[in-house]
Amino acid sequence: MPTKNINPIVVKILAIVFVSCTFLGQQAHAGAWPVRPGKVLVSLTGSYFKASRLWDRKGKSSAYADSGSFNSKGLYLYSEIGASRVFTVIVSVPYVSNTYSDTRGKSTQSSFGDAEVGGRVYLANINFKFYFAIQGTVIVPLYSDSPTQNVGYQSLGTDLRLVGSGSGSLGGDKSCYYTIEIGGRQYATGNGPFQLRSTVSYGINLDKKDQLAFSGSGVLSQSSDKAFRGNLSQNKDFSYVQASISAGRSFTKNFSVFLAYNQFVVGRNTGIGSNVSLSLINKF
Amino acid sequence: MYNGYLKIFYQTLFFILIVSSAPSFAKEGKNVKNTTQVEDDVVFTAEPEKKEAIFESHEKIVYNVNVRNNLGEEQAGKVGYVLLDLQDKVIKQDGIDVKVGKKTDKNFTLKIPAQSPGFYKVQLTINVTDYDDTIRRVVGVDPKKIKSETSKPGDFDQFWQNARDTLAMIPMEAKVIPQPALDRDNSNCYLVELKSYEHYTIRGWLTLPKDRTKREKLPVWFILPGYGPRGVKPIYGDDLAIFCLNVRGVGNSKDKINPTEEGYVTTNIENRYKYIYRGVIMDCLRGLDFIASRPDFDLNNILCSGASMGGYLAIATSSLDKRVKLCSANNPVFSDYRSLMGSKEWPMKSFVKYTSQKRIPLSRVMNNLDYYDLKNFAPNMKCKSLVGIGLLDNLAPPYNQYVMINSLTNKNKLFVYPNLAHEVPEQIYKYLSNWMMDEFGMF
Repeated sequence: MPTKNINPIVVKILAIVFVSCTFLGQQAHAGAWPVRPGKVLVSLTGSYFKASRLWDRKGKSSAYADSGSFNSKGLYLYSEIGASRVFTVIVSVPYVSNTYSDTRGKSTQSSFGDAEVGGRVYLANINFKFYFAIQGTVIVPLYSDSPTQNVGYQSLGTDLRLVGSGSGSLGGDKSCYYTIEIGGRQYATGNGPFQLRSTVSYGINLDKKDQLAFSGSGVLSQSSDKAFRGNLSQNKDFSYVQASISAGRSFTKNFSVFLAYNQFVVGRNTGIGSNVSLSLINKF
Repeated sequence: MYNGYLKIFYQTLFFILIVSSAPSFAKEGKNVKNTTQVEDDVVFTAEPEKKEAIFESHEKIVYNVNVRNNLGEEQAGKVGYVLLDLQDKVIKQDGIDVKVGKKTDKNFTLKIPAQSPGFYKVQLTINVTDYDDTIRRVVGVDPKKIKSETSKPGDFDQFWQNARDTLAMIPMEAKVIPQPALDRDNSNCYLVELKSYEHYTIRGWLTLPKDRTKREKLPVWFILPGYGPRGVKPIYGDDLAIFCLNVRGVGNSKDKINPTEEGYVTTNIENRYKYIYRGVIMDCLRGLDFIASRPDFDLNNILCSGASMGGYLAIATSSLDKRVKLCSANNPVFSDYRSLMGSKEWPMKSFVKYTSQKRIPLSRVMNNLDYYDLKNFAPNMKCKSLVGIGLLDNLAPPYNQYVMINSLTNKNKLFVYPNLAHEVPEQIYKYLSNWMMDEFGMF
């Protein structure tokens, strides 16, 4: 297994970033490294998010009114296709089920969510130690504007981000990697939010099969629509920072499983929630 | 980006290439230490101000030296330098008075006057109360300005085209024989047998990942042997086809020709058309013919590499055959033969001994060697290349290396190791792995 072995790590990074996906339709990517031409990476993630408290517009914590709570169950299919040495095609399709319940009742929206299609271009590296890429995707809502299906903004959008990734040895079988990304997302509707997004990830390959990773990410979403809705996927003006920890194991060269937990740690106009997810990742 | 497998891989490759790269009879003791010491009483170290010991012709050659006095008495005396040309003629020597108190250490700076382009030997000396020693180094001054004083023969390209035409008429008759006893965890090993130039049978070792798919096209790492009879053994990888070739007279390719280690370099040297390296280089091209014949190999992604003689062969092969995408050559030998006239080192000493015994004019051999000179292959190499050299290398001296490097017209990356002789550090193989992954899109 001499020269490649970036692949498992890319897979791992993919998992780490991916498991931070939430009901807000964030998407994953695999750091700055491209996928080998002709190879296809597929990830299937199941996640469960729950928030029983919220941050108001000033960031003050409180309980939902009427003992309310919000939960979101999601199934995310994500794929990266190596098109050339420097270009990777990205496709993601989520299926989401959001439920808000309180003492007055319960409402659920279930549907395919915001799909994304785009690509990542590998730009450059510094001595093959730190890699830079730019990634762009188009956001396409796969749901209708109905009370039972509306799981997002129902708006086309674009996402553009810069990604930097590096890795290093920690001695023995241990190695580490890190990814930093920053970007923006614009939804096309009149008051569709503009969002600044960033993620920092650090992972340790404990041995040839196991890894532990930590990441933090933040979203600053701005819109003229300042309203807070119990269904968090409808909020447009908010911000939060979340932290996550994940553990992964590679069962074969091509197949890995990741379990992750993430927690919102600070925010504004959004729920205080936590998320558990399980990802199955395979390379074909 | 790396895991244990990758580390093991390039460590293995490093070991194999280095251990097999230098002629054993040509290995001589060289002071490549960075530190001298006597029972830890006094420790004398020296580092060039420029990391690679390559200076500009308008600047002084500066060494920072440190004297660590572990004794209970003050050490007084001189720290100095002797600057010599490559023929050991003293150009300049000087020194400074030093005093180093007991149980202390002190730093000093030695400044040598600016020199004209070329390579120079430097002896850094210490002569104090209870300790004397010398550290020997080589420094370069504007080596990019070094040019060969001899030109390429006018029919050089035709000479090699004729050899290629002859090779093309010989059917390859490739045999790929599974070697289950040599299989490793995720690699199958095969013995490859090919017919080559002059109908010689040559052999090599091919390893392929077990989990390869039918539609998969594997990048290829083509490894060529260093000097000596041992040759190369199988090297194992993942996601790669690794083909280690033993050229004629090396390893398991000795059916018709089996020269001694010392005699290899002079076999039929009196006839430029019969010289062993004509066949050897054609063997390398035959190895590429084999690679090109495999539908499961990615012919756009072939790395050709080697060290010492393997480095020479890698550059010669990449120059003659454009199927190579990347070339890696560490400590490549056989460059600018004519500048080695008078050298007591291998290979010149073997040429002198052979011509003397056979009563052949050395000039005739030198005329033949013009067709085998690495500097004459270099300009035609168009693929990207990675070259590593040691400034203390007595078998592939830095002057000769730079003649070749300055003849390159391709995009190339050079690593210079000022404190190493005929060797390179493990890190260059790490860089090579990364570079190959990047160029071949093997992420």
